[in-house]
Amino acid sequence: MHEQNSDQHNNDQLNSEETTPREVSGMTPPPLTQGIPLAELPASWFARINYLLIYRDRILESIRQDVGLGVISRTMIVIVAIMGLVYGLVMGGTNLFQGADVSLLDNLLMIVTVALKVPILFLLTLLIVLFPIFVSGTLLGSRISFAQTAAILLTSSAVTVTVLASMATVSFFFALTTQSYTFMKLLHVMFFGYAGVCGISFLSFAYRKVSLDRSLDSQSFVFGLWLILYAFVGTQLAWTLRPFIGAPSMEFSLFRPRSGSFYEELFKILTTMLD
Amino acid sequence: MLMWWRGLLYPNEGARLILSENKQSGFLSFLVILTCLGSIAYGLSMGLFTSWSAAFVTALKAPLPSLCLAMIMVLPLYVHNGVHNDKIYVNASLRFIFYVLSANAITLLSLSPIACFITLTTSAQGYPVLVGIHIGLIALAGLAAGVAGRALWYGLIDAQAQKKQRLFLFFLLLISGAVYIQLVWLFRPWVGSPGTSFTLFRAQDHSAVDAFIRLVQHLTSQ
Repeated sequence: MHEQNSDQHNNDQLNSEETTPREVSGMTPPPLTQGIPLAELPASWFARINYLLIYRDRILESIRQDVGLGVISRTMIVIVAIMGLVYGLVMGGTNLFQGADVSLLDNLLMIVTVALKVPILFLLTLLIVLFPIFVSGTLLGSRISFAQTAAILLTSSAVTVTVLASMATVSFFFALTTQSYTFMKLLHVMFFGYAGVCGISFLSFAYRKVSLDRSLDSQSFVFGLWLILYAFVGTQLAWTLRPFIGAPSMEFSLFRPRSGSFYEELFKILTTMLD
Repeated sequence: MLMWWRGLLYPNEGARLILSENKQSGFLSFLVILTCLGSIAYGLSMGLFTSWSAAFVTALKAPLPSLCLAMIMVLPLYVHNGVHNDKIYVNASLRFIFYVLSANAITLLSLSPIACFITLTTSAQGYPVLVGIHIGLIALAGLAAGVAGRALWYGLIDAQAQKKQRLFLFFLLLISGAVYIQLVWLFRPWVGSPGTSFTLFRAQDHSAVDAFIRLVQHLTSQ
């Protein structure tokens, strides 16, 4: 309740008090972008998710002016948690929906752990890449503060997970109507890839929008390297946190022993399907 | 009614009707009805191979894949539009899906006299060929729907975003196609295998995906 009040208070601050740009550690406040108002986050969480999709320009404008970063970042963390949970429930329930020969207890354990693992995967990836992206961004001359970098990355993670969760209806449909474990693995990899590309495209757009720095365009090679780094950390972390579906022939385990890599496994899946 | 027809035939006018926030316009109902009618007509032409009663049942279940596809794909499409800043909301997303499905249904409707003629003039021995012809005609209608959807999409979003979104649009169309194929597979039989008694739905022993993988394996092992 207290947290709710505090959140409401912060939100009120975002909506009313802090409508003028704050001075950030000796830097000159950025100029106002004409025509884009600041974000006014609605009270309900569902409406906030919708707000992220419809008024992303306003959210980015608030980040750019360093207004209400705390509320925005907390909101994005909760969106990542909710939407990750939604996709995790469907992904972890694949064996159950396919009617695979797995005990009910193992199925339930898999659903619960994967529902927790998906948001953790996205938040951990962000935590790992946050500092390198901030440092190299500063070296590139973007003049974006650490808190702003964190807010941008959290917003792009929220977008990524929301795209992923939107594909849950398709995953659920295929889990209900197919029996192939290999196909489901490939389908989930494809959806993670699609969501990742959407998220990275948003990150690239958001970073340029917030920094308003054209020099980033000339450094697009370095920027591209960040995005590859982001994607690489994400896939490797996903590989480390596996299983996400659980092979029907294997007993439930929270994590699998470390072996091989994500790309090796992807190659194996493709060859198994055509074998 | 004439305005809705024009909306369906001319993507620019269709885009305006889709983006209209006037809920009383009735454009969505028009598209849903058209989708059902087109599917029913083609369903009838497939089911005639077995009997009139089978044709009637097939016609009734023919709109099901389209309606289920709309339910499954509306959320991914809405989120996709939001992420790419297209300002196409839930109602408009639904109208977009049914626009594409209507294009599919109208093409099926236009092909149904050919399908009907081939079905009625094929003997029991020609069943595999008949199935192949129906698959080809349905694929043709799917292709027409894809082209109509692409034209409409480009009418909905600004020119700058079009190039950037080409890949995403292709991915969504691909996923929609895969879901549609799986739905059609689930609701079989459509033609009805000769020598087997009539059933509303077949047992789900394997999926369209498995059948496709088997076909690829068969082709690669040649």
